[in-house]
Amino acid sequence: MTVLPLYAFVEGDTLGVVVLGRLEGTIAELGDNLLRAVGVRVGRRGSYQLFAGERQLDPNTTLEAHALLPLDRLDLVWTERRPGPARGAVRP
Amino acid sequence: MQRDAWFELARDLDWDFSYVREEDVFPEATSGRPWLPQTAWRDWEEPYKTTFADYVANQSDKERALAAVRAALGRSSDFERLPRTWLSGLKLHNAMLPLAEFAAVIGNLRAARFGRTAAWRTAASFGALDELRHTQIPLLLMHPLVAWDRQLDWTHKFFHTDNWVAIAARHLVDELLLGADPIEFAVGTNFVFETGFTNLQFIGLSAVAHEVGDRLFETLLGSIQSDEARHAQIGGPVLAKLVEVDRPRAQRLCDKWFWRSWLLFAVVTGFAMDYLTPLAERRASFKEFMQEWIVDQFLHTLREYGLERPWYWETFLSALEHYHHMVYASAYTYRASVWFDLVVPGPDERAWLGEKYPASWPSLEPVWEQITARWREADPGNDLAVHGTAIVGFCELCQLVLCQGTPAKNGAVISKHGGQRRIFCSEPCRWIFESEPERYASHAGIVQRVLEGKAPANLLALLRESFGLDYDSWGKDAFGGDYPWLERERR
Repeated sequence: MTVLPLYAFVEGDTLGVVVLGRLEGTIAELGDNLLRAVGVRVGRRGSYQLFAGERQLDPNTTLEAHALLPLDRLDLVWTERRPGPARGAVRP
Repeated sequence: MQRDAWFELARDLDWDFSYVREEDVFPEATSGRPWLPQTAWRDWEEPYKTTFADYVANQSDKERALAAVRAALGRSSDFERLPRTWLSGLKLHNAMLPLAEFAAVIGNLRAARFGRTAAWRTAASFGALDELRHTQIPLLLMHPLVAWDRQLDWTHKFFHTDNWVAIAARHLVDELLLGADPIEFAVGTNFVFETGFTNLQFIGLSAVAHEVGDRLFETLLGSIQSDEARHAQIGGPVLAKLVEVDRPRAQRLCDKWFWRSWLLFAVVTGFAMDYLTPLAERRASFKEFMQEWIVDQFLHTLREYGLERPWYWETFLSALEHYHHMVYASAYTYRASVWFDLVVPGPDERAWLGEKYPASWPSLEPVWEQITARWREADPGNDLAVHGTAIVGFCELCQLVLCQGTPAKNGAVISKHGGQRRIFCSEPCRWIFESEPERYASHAGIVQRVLEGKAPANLLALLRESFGLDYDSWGKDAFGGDYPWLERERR
């Protein structure tokens, strides 16, 4: 198994993180791993697209097929927004 | 003999060399670029002049005042009365201050030997004595607390660890204070850092300390500030000469050190003013202090020297709205990687932040809602349930976390140097790196250390083995996530 370290940025997050993607894994799996990695700060907001620079990455293809390089920059951009977490239960 | 009769001669008593070359006494490598003959520096004049006797008398008075406050307020019981979040600010400062000040002793001593006029060397000698004092004061005042609080104890180890904040601090301090030649030191440290930024700390934060009731810290800052105000004035006349002979370099040094200083103060002072000071004691936001003390005054001063505002000014103004908030939220979710406790801003604090930062807070609010939602599902005290685990990205220039830009679009940029791919938090950091790649290229950041197997990738192992922290010393939520405004559903 070959693992690729990538810098990743999720729209709405405050921080860039490093995610490890399997070369034979799909972009969709990578996106899910990324959302878990930033889940403490960013909740899932609906569907999303992953970009490497200007290139939109096909979620069903592998990292290897996209010829991603170590320490490339990935951006996760929301395409369909869901409401954020409920505010409730805040005492006055 | 009256002071006036001898002082002008004594403060600038220099000599002509007869059996060595001037270039050998003051080599460019240690005296700085551009190398100019001594005659070119003859008109150098510091605005604030003092004699050694006056210096000793003034410092002695200050020491007595400080000792009196320490005697009255220096016990651990006095600190126990302070707000918990304010103590976190003290821990942040106590880690950063002493050894950074000690590095400034070295920078001043280099100028005291290799500065190009006797008056400059004399002023730098006083500067070195000042900085030695600033090393000793926080060490002395905080020493009784090391037995009281493990995190305060850890602050004394900070600079000797590979904690990510320590790596960033050393990267800055080594270049600015230890490695810079006297010309760059005078522009970067005396002019930009001390004239531009330390007012924020020593006047702005000192006023906040007064409001909080921390008289000891207030006195410490005030006592240090009076020294800084004097030796900071070395910077002006050096910069004036540099502008005269090499204006592009003068502009470049101001631009470089403004950006690097800003990043440090955004984290240290920004956290303290906008998050760690209790809401009731806040009089102005960090941004408001910055606008008054930096944006207005520093730009005015730059213009006086015939210089332009830094080329990245629009980026800076945007960062003033976003950067320290993005770092704070990120640090909160990696609080075990620091040595002080952090706090979730509650509804009143968020309303205040929203009022002070209308352009940026709406994009930050969802992050705190998410963190709050996580705490709602976690038991109080279960910090690691509301904590990040992924490897964090760090800028390969400033070594700080990748938190520039906005939550909508992070400002990090990747570029290639010598076949190696590098990431920078921002365009100004990339510009600084690319201006002197030979200075920075060999530095290994945390991500490189992890990828090369020199540091563990597992967060807990990284905290213990590289960052030098353990459960007692690492940061937690200051209230264990148990806030009066956060109601948990009964399970």
